[in-house]
Amino acid sequence: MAVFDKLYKNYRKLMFGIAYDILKNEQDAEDAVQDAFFRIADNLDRINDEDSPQARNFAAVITRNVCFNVLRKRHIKDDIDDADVSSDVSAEDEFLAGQGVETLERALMSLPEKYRDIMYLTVYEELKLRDAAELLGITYENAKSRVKRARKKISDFLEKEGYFN
Amino acid sequence: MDNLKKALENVMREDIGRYENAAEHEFSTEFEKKMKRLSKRSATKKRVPLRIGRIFAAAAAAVALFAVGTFAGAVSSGFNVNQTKRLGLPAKLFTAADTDGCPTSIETVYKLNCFPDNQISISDNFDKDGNRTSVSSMYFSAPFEWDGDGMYAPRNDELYLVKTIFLLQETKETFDFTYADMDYVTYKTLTVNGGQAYFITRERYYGTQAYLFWESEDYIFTLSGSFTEERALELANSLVIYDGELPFSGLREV
Repeated sequence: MAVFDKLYKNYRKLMFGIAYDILKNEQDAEDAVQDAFFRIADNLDRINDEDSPQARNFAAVITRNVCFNVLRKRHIKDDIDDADVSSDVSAEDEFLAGQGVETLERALMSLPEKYRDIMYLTVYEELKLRDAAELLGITYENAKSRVKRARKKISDFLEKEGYFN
Repeated sequence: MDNLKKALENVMREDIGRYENAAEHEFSTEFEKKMKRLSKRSATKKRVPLRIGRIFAAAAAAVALFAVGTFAGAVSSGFNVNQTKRLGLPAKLFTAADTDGCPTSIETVYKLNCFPDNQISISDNFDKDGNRTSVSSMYFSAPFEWDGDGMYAPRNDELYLVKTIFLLQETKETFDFTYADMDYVTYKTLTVNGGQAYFITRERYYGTQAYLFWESEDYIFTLSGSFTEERALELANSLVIYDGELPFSGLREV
């Protein structure tokens, strides 16, 4: 079976579940899944194994962000934080690297999904920021801001929990 | 970063795992048909980077919205304009008049010099041998945010669609103009940098859609957007060599 067909068979149910959960409408969810599959089709070479958790996460992250874009277009959910972020990313990296897995998990779970997704793509999948932006259908600058804000939010969470000196 | 990666893996497993038991959904026939077409396309297509593909497709789509029904007769110099009928159209409307000695890949990239960098995005397209065969650039009326489908800028807490202008620079060899059958088209010949150009307009519900084609010594340019004849000439005559990196995006988050 071809790669795309296998992905389609494996994840369409999952993707529809995600889309419906966000959009609350069957037709909109179907449209979003369709859009997500078009993006997946353009990025098949990023998927190593159609049955892997990586492929599943990939499909899920793309679907979720297609839905966010739909909502943003409707003006229902425009939660872009325009606050100036001037965090020192390298210092934060160093700080995050020193934290335990469970602590980081709690910090990540506290993030809005769009920030978690950009962290997943850039840190776990090690995608370049530009590639991650393309996948999510956002601008490079927007992706850059999301990464900064995600890290800032993780740091803030940890600070609030007393992990900073 | 190992711990962060591990944490991300765990969080995603938990996060996405919530949907593993989602109810089965019966997708519409239309959806299934589209997926079949996509599957077929995926099995045969060559890889084009997503962003390049998307921007190029947007430019191509804008250019492709174009009428041929009212064109009549051939033009003796510049482009060859084919006689066409309203239906059963030939594959090409325009072909380059002179391709002898022209570059088969884009050697010099041009851009319009009428917009600030933060309102410009330039991308390129390659053939299967890695030759750059076209460059498309988009020019925005304001700094914007792209939500995946449209280009929007904020105004009084609302988003409004940003006007865009597309410039497509192609090698003469690869220039292959497609068409759509439409009414209410006007057409006239103009001069750009001493060469013949074609200015085409079409009335749409949102205003006038305009196209300007011209052939330079080496390339063919297509300008499309909502502009007057005077503005089209102003834009076309502003062409300058772009010697920066590609792809280029000066766009900023709004």
